[in-house]
Amino acid sequence: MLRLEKVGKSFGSTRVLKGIDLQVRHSEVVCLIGPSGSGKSTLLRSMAFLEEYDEGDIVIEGQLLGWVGAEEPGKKRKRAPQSQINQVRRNVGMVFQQFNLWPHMTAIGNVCEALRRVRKLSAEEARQRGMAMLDKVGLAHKAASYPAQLSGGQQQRVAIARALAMEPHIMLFDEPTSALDPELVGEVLQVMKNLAKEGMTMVVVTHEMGFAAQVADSVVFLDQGEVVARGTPQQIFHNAEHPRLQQFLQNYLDRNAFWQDGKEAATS
Amino acid sequence: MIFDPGIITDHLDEIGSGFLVTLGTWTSGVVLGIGLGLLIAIAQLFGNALVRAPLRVFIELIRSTPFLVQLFLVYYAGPAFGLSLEPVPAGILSLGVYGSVYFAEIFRTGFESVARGQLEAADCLGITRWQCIMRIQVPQMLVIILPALVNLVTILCKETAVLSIITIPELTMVLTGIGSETFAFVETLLVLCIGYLLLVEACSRLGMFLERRVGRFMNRQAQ
Amino acid sequence: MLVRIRVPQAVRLTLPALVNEMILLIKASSLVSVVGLADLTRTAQNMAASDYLFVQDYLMLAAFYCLINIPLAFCGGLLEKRLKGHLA
Repeated sequence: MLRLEKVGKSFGSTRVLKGIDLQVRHSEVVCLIGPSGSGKSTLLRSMAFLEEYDEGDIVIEGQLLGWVGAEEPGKKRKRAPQSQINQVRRNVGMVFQQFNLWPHMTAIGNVCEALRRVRKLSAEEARQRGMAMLDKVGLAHKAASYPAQLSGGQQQRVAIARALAMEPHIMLFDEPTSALDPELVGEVLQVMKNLAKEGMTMVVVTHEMGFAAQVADSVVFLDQGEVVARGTPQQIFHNAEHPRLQQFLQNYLDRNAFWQDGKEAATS
Repeated sequence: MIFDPGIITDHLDEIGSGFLVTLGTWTSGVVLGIGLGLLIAIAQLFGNALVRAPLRVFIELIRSTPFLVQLFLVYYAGPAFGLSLEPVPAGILSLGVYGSVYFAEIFRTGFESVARGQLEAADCLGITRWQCIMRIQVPQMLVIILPALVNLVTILCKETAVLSIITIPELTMVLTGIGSETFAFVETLLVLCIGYLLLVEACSRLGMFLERRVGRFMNRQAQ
Repeated sequence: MLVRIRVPQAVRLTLPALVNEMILLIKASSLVSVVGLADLTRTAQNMAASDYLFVQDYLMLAAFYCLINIPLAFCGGLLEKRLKGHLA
């Protein structure tokens, strides 16, 4: 459904993504993990063409995203017209770390806005669909609230409802719980787990290893712009072979599991 | 020293019409300033470099010269360029042009201060650029710039006093005129101060009221 | 002691704003011409009154103010960039 071939990106002279290959099948949940600066957010954002990737191809459901025509060495490709980009992105939904709700609209307003402007639904139809989505994330009772009146977890769930309302085939999550207080993380992860159970194709950039271990079909470890390891959660978390992956997991365990097995928190 | 309020009551209708002229030139100047300022802001945000460069020069010139000098240029030097205006239109024009530059700055920074992430979310959902501007950026921008707008409008109110120099019969000119006729400087200047105080106070009260009504559900973002 | 810590920081923070204030003051100074003080504006007015060359006189007046204020504003901008750089 989603295919990345040799995707590369540079910011100025820094190469952030180097020849990434990735395939996401229908109903598959892929988790991207890795240290900061490894390029995972950039990669995810490129899949929504929020970042223009320089090399390679990103193909969504058979259509090339963002560029027109085949790649030629030495020449920069022509950017596709906005309508074409929107067309290819039509079935992709994105959830951001900072929620990015529109503060001057209510929860239901946020969810219905795109339905009315893009899908051109009537006010009544949009409202019905919107309420159904808010209900799905457990926030139907907060439909008339403004984002400022909602907790972080609730705001993120509204953001998820907003993306889901457009009935995407693929959902992209960019560190959806990183900006949340620890107690609120659970409610958002639960919504995401339900989505996965329903068969949604998901690509999630996350630091929540527990989520990745439980829900992901495949986990991809990125470091310094390259895919260093990929496999099932079993392979990645329990049979980590690559030294960089081992180091990353060790750091994570040191920080997070310090009360187990007499391990002390790492003091450096 | 004799303080004679009678001087004021004797000339009450003169003072009244002066006050109205001040009010009129102020509001006209503000309306003109907002209109022009909007055009300038749009040109700066969406225009190409060919439009932005001369605009930048214009803005710098207006910002670097005193209002009085600009007023003189319009009223006294204008006729040489075919622009022969009566004092009141000249005053309104000058006030409007002077204010437009500052209004444009407010509009531009307000527009750009809407957090980028919100625009990205809109983009991902397929919302077009124009829809995004009208539905997401403009509504938030209006709330964000309200304090700065009220501030600027207040400043322009005080600048109307300068219009008295080209013989526009507004409050300052009327009261200083009475003052020099009757030598009752204390009374007239006191009333002058109170007059402007009333205008400025009314303006800021209006601003606070609007802020409270509109900004109730929005916390001003600084993302 | 506090002087050596606070004053440098205070200067750094307030300098750009002070430059702005100065520009505003220079512009406001044109109003002293109303009470007859022979500043730039009053001088230009007197010249214009005698030779009736309004355009030249007042344009020159505007040019003088620009000559003073534009470099000031430029320096203010430079100062602001320089000083902000250390803070971020």
